[in-house]
Amino acid sequence: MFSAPVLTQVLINGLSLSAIYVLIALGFTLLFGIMKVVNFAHGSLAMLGGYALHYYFGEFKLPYVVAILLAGLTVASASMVLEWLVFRRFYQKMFQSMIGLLGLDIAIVYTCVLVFDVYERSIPAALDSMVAIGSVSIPADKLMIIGIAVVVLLAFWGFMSLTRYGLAVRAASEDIEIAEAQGVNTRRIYQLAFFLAIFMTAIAGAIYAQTYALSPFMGERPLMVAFIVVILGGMGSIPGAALGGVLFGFGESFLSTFYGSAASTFVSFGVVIALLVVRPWGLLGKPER
Amino acid sequence: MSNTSLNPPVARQTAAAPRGMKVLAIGVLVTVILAVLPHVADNAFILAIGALILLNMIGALSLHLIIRTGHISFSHAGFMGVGAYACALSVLKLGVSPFVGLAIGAAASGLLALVVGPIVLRLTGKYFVLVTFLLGEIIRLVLVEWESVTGGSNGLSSIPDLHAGWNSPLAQYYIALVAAVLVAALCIRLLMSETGRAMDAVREAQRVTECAGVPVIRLKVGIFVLGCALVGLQGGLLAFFMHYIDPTTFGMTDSLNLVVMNVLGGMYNVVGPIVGAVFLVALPELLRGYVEIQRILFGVALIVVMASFSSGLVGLATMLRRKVHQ
Amino acid sequence: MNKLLNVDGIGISFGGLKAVDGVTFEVYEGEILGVIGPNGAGKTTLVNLISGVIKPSRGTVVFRDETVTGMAPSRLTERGLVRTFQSTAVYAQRSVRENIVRGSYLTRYPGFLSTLFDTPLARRKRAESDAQVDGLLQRMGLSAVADDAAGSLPYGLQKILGIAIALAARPTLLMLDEPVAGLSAEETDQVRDAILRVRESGVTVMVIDHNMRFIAGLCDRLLVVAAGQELTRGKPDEVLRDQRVVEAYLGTRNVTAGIA
Repeated sequence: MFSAPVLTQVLINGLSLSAIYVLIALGFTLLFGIMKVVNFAHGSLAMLGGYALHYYFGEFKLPYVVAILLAGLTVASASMVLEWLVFRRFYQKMFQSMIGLLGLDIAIVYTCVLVFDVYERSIPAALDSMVAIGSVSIPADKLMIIGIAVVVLLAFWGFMSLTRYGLAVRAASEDIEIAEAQGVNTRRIYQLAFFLAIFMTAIAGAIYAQTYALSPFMGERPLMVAFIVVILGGMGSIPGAALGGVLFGFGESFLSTFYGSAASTFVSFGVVIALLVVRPWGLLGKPER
Repeated sequence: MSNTSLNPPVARQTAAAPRGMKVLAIGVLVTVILAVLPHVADNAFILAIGALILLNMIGALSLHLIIRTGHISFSHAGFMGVGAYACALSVLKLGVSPFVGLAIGAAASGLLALVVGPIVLRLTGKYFVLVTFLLGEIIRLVLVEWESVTGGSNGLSSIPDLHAGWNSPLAQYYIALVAAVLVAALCIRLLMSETGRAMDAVREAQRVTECAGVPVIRLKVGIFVLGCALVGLQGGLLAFFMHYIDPTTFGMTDSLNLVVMNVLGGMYNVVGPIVGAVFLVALPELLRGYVEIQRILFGVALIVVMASFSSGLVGLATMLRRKVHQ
Repeated sequence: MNKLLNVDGIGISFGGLKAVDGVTFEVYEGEILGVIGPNGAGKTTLVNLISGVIKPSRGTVVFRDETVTGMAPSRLTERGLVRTFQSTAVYAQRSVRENIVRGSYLTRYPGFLSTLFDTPLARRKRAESDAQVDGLLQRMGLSAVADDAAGSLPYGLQKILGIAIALAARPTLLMLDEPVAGLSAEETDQVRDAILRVRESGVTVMVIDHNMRFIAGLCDRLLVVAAGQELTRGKPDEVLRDQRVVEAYLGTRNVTAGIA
């Protein structure tokens, strides 16, 4: 059972799942950590990324890397309208945001049902070839996906650690009031954080749609994943989202390959619930007593 | 959670005689009107919607009790499912009479709530929401995966009527009416009693309330068990009405619907879930044919309501009434 | 004199910091005991440990000859040990009367079914509680504002309301956590008079505060706490002249006027 090809497959799957999950979770946790909104519309925004990729790559036949980055940028830019119309009315109001953004989620999903249609589509793979590493054969598109996700995450990490704006965003995610007192322009930071969050979410959604299937309702699972990963890592903690995403991605890959997807789901849910009961602020979060 | 102004103070419903009489009078009047309705509007479609609204009112009201203690549960439809399946299985596999099945369904949900409650009710607001969100999903997954017992995605079929011959829209309407009226009477009376006072106190200032001698955890668990048992009852009734249940009826969307009924109608007033249930069930049925547009409008309505009136439609009505009186 | 409360070696640590480190003292029936110390000395944590809000990691609490260490606050209140809170101590959106009614839970609650069906027992307890509430409104000078929202009261009256809510639970020993923090001199005197009236009605009082002048003018005995431990104890004028006490206060940023 634990042979090299199987283990390699588990590893690669784990990496690509982790990549998707970390991207989604980072977006979710940025919105929670800085603006204190629980983004119930997160899944549908990811779904929009999927449709964007479908058009850029599937229909317009742009080169894959260009298409996916463009998908992220398009959705993030278009979402700035939503930020102005909807999101900013719920900043720092956690409970209102839950129900209000749930409404947004429903509105987005059913608008897509009208505009596109209910039926599932698939997005063609980025590359058709297989790559041989040692004695194992890996689909090249999986490597491409992992590569792109890693690049985006590195860029995000670089931005957050090395630029002035990144520092401001990090300060805001620690404590928005102190950041404000130190002269940070909250409105700008909110918009910047929002843009970054949706950019990563849309790319994650694009990859997800490509790996599984694209439909207006595909966002439900990514939303659940975002919740789980962020709870695991600590709501509002950026490193926590990364850690949670990796743990969950590898956990799922390992468990579902060897024990089936049902077992994988049960174990992960069970672990998260146990964590919430014992240590609700997650692995890397801060307890708010 | 709400930001109502400080003057005048929110009137506390006491068990004083005149207020109680007024509520009772309104309740009796409404019940009579609803009982007579089938003779006025003898239309199977209206009776079916009516029954659906009345059943959902049970769910919305039972969730309301839990919300009044300060916990928003996103797993309520999951408990409905537990009740539905326990009821259906006991009738189909154990051969008990349907009425006993109803009791078993309610008891099963209540029992699960009793096991889970003491653990999750210690969590504060947002963590409780998250845990119940996941709990609801776990219940649904168990219903789907445990095929040998629950029939998996195919569900359970050939569920009989509640009583031989009670399968017409009219009969179902009256069953739902009786159940809803009983549950509403229980909930309203409970909220008006000293227990209701303690529930509000726990929600508004838990530490102070605990130091006044109120056994907070015991109260929260008790109400949680009661609320889940009542929605388990709704599940059982649903099983007898539709003669078929599957996991899709008891998923995240349905739990969210029950929460929305409360939030939209007014979270901390018992009229809220009643109004919310009517709106959320009646409107889609009446606007059939334009499902997508209707859902989009619904989503937008949620955004608008949460952004402007966090105390729901009831809060809006109160505000308007105050403006009129000035 | 009867020993009402016996705290022995109580302690708790928060992540390496010993917030309270082995404090031992007694409270005698009929006295007003003051617990003073600079901010951060662990006074409120001490109250939290005794009243069950936090479970102590060591030590015991014995109240009226019963070991009550770590019991939940509601069970302590049932036994006559009641405390107030420094912040968010009232139901802001409710009327003053409703606030005290809620404090009167133990008198008023007849049992789940009784209150559901409004039985004669329920009505009797309600009448008893209503009478108690009216009495408290009068004694604490809150009758004039009985129907006002608690949050709209001046801060001093809110503190007095907090005490009234606690009194509604019929305490034998009342622990007041920082009852005059943030009050003007006039409001402080109002609270002081209220506390004296409470003692006259037969309730033993333990007052925790960092305001030296207030405590010295009110209490029969003082216990001084600093850095989680007892510094000294005794009569007010002795304690306040103690050099170590003066240093403990001067060592922190919070120095109140009128020391010794």
